[in-house]
Amino acid sequence: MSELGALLERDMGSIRAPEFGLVDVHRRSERLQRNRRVRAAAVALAIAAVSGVGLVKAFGHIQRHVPVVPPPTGTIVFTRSVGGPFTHFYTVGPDGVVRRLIPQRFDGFSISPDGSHVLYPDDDFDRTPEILPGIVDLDGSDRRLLRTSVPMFPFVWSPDGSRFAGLGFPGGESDGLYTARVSDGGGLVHVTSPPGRRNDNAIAYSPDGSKILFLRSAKDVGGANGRATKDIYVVNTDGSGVVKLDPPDTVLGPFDSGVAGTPPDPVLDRRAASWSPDGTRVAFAAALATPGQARHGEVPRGLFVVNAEGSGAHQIVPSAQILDAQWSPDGEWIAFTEANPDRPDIFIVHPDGTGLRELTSSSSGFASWGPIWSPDSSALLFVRNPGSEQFDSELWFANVDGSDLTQLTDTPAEYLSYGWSPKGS
Amino acid sequence: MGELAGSEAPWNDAPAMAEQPASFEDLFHAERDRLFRVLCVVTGSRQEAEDISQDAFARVWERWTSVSRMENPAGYLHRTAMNVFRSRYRRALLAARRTFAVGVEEDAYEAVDDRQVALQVLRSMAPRQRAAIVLTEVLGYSSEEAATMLGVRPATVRALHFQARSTLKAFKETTDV
Repeated sequence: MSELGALLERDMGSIRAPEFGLVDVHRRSERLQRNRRVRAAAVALAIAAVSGVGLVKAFGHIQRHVPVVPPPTGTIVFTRSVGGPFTHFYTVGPDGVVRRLIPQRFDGFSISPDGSHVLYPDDDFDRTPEILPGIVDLDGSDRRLLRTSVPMFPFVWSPDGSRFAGLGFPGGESDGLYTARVSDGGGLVHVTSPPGRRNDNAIAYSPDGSKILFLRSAKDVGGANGRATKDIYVVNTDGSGVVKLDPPDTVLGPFDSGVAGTPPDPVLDRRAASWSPDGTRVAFAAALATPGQARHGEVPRGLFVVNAEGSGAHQIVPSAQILDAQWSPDGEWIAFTEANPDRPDIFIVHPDGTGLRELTSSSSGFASWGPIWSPDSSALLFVRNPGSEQFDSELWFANVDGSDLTQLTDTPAEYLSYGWSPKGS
Repeated sequence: MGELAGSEAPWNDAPAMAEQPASFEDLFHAERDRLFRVLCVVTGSRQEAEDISQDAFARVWERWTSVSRMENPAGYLHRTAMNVFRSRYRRALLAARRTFAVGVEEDAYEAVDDRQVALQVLRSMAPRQRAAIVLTEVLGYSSEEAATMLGVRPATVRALHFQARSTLKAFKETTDV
């Protein structure tokens, strides 16, 4: 054994022994077998259903280039999981053809301002042992890595498309947000340094590119923690002027919460806040509670609008179970998901709180959540699920007046992340 | 890259155990602590390590009739554990990273002190890098075998090896351990 191996053996001896026993293994085995039976039953049901509508049609649907209903404008980019460890980037453009781009292990991505490229975290272990920013063209071509001097998990493009922001991992530990050039990954700027064991997550650059809206863990979490709560901040892109936007006694998330009526997969936290298109205000959804209350109980969650310098935070609709806040590109509306009483639905409201309108109705049997706007503000894209099965959702879109509610995809899955590119309009 | 778990093929070329376990209970008691500690090092999380260990043991138990006839049931256990780790790691990347934080809470490394240079070196690595190191350095697999378990190229494992040893050397030089 080498010196490293011998040292590792010695050091490992200091790790406290586990506490599980044979009985735990047997219980685990029973659980695994139960899960397999459920999956087998689901597959059998699916096969039966497919047989019912005809094998030819069924096989047609599992091919890659099958036309679906095209989006009303632009191109939709999305990732989805059907339960396995892998997912891919997909696009659907004006021709209604679903195109699979590249394998993708993370579900976060950002579309360039001109709609031509996708920025994503690349952890292809044979290309890089670390997470690095990757860029791929919207047609799946020209996939490339940006070898930043600090490994980065990229989040968002700057409005002029020249830079991007992401979480940096020098030495394997996250230490805040960085920005870098899109052209070569150079010009690194360390923008935020979260205190303690907290993490920052960039949501978006301000429309003029001078600030970054970001989430920061409300308490020390020391890494991934889906139950973590966050606060919302802005910072100048040079790292100065950090301002917390959510008022005292409010907190964002957790984003995998067991809030009544929410889907089994989380409403993505990066949809929890957004800029007004003129960059003067921010809309966000926050729990009116402490981090502990928000993590462990059902608490009221409100839709807030706040001035970008941190003043004037106020709710624009009554507190409910509001999970996200997406300002329309034309500034007219804020779209959000409201989860109570039983299942989530999508609403829109003017930023001054008037004109509240329910876009979907769960009384139809479908839960709907996670709206994002089309680039021209004419339509919304969101997830719908006919029941409560995690991998049984589809992407749908509707006009802003609620008309033309249309299913976009034709593969039941967990739709993890999606964006709307103006390309192809 | 195919999944390895569930394969019934014997893992005959794995490092031999000192003694063939007579029963699943023997295997469990012989391997539990070691597998758990290896997974603590790989994942950095006691909870993750316990979950993966239990999953791996449960899968071996379900196949014990055939696993017990293998030349090296412990090798099959290690291989299964690494498969569970791979699957969970990717799934976790999808699930946890959607909430933007990267990496699990590394409570297994919380008690590491200055004398534990090897753990300090591994702490700076990503979980899959750690897995490559413990498979080769602690469990005695070749680069090729470790690469197969982790679904990467042998050259990648060798590069990680070199990197870890270089880091250890530099660490010892700078800290005078």
